[in-house]
Amino acid sequence: MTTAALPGFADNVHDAQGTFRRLLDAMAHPGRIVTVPGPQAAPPGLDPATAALLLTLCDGETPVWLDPGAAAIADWLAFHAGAPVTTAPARAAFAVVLQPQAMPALDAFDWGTDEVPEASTTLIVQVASLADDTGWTLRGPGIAAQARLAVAGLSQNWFTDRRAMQAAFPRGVDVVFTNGHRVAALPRTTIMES
Amino acid sequence: MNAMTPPAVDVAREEEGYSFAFLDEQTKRMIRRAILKAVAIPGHQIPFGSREMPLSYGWGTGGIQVTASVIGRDDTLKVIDQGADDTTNAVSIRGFFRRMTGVATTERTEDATIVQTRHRIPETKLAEGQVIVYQVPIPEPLRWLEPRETETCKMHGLAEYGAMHVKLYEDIVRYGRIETAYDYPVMVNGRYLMRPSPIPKFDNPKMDYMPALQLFGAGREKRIYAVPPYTSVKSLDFEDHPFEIERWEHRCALCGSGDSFLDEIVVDDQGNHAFVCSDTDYCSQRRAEGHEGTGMPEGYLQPQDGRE
Repeated sequence: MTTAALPGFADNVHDAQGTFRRLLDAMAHPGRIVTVPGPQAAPPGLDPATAALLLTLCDGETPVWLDPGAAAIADWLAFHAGAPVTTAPARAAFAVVLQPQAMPALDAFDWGTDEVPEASTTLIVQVASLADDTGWTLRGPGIAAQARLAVAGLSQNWFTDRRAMQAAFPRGVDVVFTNGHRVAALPRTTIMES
Repeated sequence: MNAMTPPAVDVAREEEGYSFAFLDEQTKRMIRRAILKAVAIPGHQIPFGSREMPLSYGWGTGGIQVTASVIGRDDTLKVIDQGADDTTNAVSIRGFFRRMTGVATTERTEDATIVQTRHRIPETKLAEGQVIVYQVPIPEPLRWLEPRETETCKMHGLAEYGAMHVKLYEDIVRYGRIETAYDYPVMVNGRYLMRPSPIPKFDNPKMDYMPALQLFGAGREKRIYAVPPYTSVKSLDFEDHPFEIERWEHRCALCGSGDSFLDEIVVDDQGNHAFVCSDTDYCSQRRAEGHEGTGMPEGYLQPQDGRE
């Protein structure tokens, strides 16, 4: 397949480390927008940040669920990461969402259990825009007072679903939004207000 | 043995023939995924596939694996052992990372991007953007109260921490106060009971709403956990027995500091002793600024100036 033959990171070791470190920064400061360099090329439809996160995090130990918009990247993912693709969102370690408007409800994914909350899906949601000066008000660990985050293209009930998930802590999913080269995270601890 | 001696200058060169930071990419990915989940669930212990490292369990293998998975070429690393940059464990771990990554190292807390520590938090306040990596011997706070992992998992799942309160209460009944002086249990984000690693309880308040990211690695016990920046970390106590930190009647003999954690050192066989800062960088920076203590007692032998 032509998609599979696209090059990945220019430098596997250091590009993966740099991408991880910026993602860690985003996860430790919910709502903060960080920039990742991205691979040399990304399959059509995949933003550089989305591709970089997959190359950094996925391997043979992580079943990945792809939404219909991302189905075409399966070969690319298999070639570079060796990650198995699952059709069941509830069994995915990572979920790739390129059509956020049509994404499954949050409780379709794995929330883990009270004893093993880390066995839960991390959602990588590629969106049309990200802004940190407007939108939701965020509070919780990693946020000194409050943060803002605006994400374009999510469905009407996404916010309600995410708010409902807060009561299930420590169960839940962690969400990473991507746009172009930019990344922002919404770990399950973050409390959202409209 | 010569090969283990790090070069005298701060600029290191990466040793050829090894993966960057020693660990292979698959291992780093696995540890990175665990770290991300640890940050998302503050205080919760995440199991990970701890690797054999070129030093024994108990010498900081958990902290080393966490640091190795986080560190990049642009980082500046500081390693301390009981507050000191020049003790055996700190020197050998710093030497290890100099050879395996070629990153710059420092003793100055404010210049470091990553601080790996055994049993202390630096006196100099850590800032946003810094990462502190703790070496953890026993990660499970309930271990001496409940030996079965299956049970402690349930207790964490249900936030059932009564046993720990009973233990602290029994201390008060027996001794009139809570006797735990180090590895003093904390509640993270109001949800998870966590061992802060064997830091003195003096350091516990520094963890509360710390601007830096705190990562914990236990190599032998194969657990990683984390406290994100600006997260509540409360030491357990009772309304009528509030948490208190250690206080000294002495000041540091070298820099005169009255509010740092002091080590008592014996200086001769005549019973003479002195109190000095445990944090060597903090102490030497204060002395460089002109602060002075009462001086070391007579008979104290200055260490030879032949450090790494």
